[in-house]
Amino acid sequence: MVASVSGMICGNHLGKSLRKLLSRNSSGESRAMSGSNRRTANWMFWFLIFVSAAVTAQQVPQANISQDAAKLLYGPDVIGGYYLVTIIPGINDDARMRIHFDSCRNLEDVSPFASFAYPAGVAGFRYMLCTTRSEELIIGRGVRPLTKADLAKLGLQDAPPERSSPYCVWTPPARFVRATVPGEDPANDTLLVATTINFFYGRYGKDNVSVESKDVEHGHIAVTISNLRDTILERLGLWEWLQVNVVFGRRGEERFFQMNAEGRYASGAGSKPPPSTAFAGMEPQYHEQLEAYALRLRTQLQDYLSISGK
Amino acid sequence: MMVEGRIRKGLGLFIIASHFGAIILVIGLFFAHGFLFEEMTTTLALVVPMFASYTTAIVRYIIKHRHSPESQRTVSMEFAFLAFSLPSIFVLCVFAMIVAKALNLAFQNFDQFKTLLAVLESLFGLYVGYFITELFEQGAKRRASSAKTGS
Repeated sequence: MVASVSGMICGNHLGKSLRKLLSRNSSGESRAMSGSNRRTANWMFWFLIFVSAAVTAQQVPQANISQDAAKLLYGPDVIGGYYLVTIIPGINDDARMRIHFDSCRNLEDVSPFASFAYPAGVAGFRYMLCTTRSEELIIGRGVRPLTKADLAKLGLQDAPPERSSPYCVWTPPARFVRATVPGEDPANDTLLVATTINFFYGRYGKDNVSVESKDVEHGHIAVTISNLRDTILERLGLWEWLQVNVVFGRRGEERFFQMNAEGRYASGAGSKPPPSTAFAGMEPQYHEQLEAYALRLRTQLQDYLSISGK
Repeated sequence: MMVEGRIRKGLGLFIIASHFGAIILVIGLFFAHGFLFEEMTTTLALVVPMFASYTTAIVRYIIKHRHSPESQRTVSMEFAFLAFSLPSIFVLCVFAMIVAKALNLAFQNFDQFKTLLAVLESLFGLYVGYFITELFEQGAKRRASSAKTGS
């Protein structure tokens, strides 16, 4: 778009110069153009605009879709694993969402830069909808802007970009030792997910925690914690809101989880918490505090899961 | 019937007090965590110019006529009523909005607050401006011309 506009401006300049040139005689003095000269100049002016716009439009880089991406978008037999969809704030809907086509075979392949992930609900948790801290991740990785049609194919048309914040933090994977509880199916994470929810209820109070999504089959929980104050950003007196995603993984007998946390804050002098729309993201301004808090929370959950399993 | 000089004095002091009161209120609520720093500066940037045009006219008038006695001309009750009620409602609305925002009693976000402040200014600014202009700018001109004729 910018290139086209600059092309048009360039063409405009050329056309004006041409007009000037045609309106001067050989000795450099201005004279009135004849009718045919004027028509020729006008034709050339518009021709130059058209050509320069067309040339510059061609110069916009078009990334190719990778094989995985083609499978993801168009093939019915998509293999398992995690895929990252990155959401980049852009000018319009089409430019806002880009897909990060690297397939991730296990949780550790999930990019640590991806800041917010939740199952997109496409073909049973094979994709994680993520946002990135910057556009750096997607440069030269076989990506292209998603169109609305692509989103419909992915079943993401109902996942507005606003739902995920561009910024939040990932904690490193946390291993935990969990003895099998009598009657618990080791292949089933139902009890593990319930234990994790109990951890959040106990830690923040049942009224302040709402479970946004719970995917027992794939070991994923998203909880939102509201009505916090001075918890993450200590001594600032601000209201805080926290969304935590916990994703459980398994490597042989070893169990681990990875957590990400998205924090938001809002002002408010009284005891009434601000409406959810009043909150602003903590990143990048309070990145350190959010990261430190997420790490503390990770350790607490790690301890809780280990203890409760024994 | 009310004396014009008394209305001018009362209204002038009321507007000046409201101007600085609003500034103090916003800064005070910022320290009470009612506003973020950016919200506080934006609010001040919106509220201060609202009053500044009136305050400037009033202060200029007071300085210019610091030695001359006030006018004893009388004005109608309607004039006196509107001269006080419109600025009072305006000031009350501005203060109420600031407090409501700081205590999260209204507004879904800061943008709504900003928009409503701007709307309020458009609604009342014109009418309040009429009274201020009439009392402190046209009034000053009349006083000057009558002083000239008198001398």
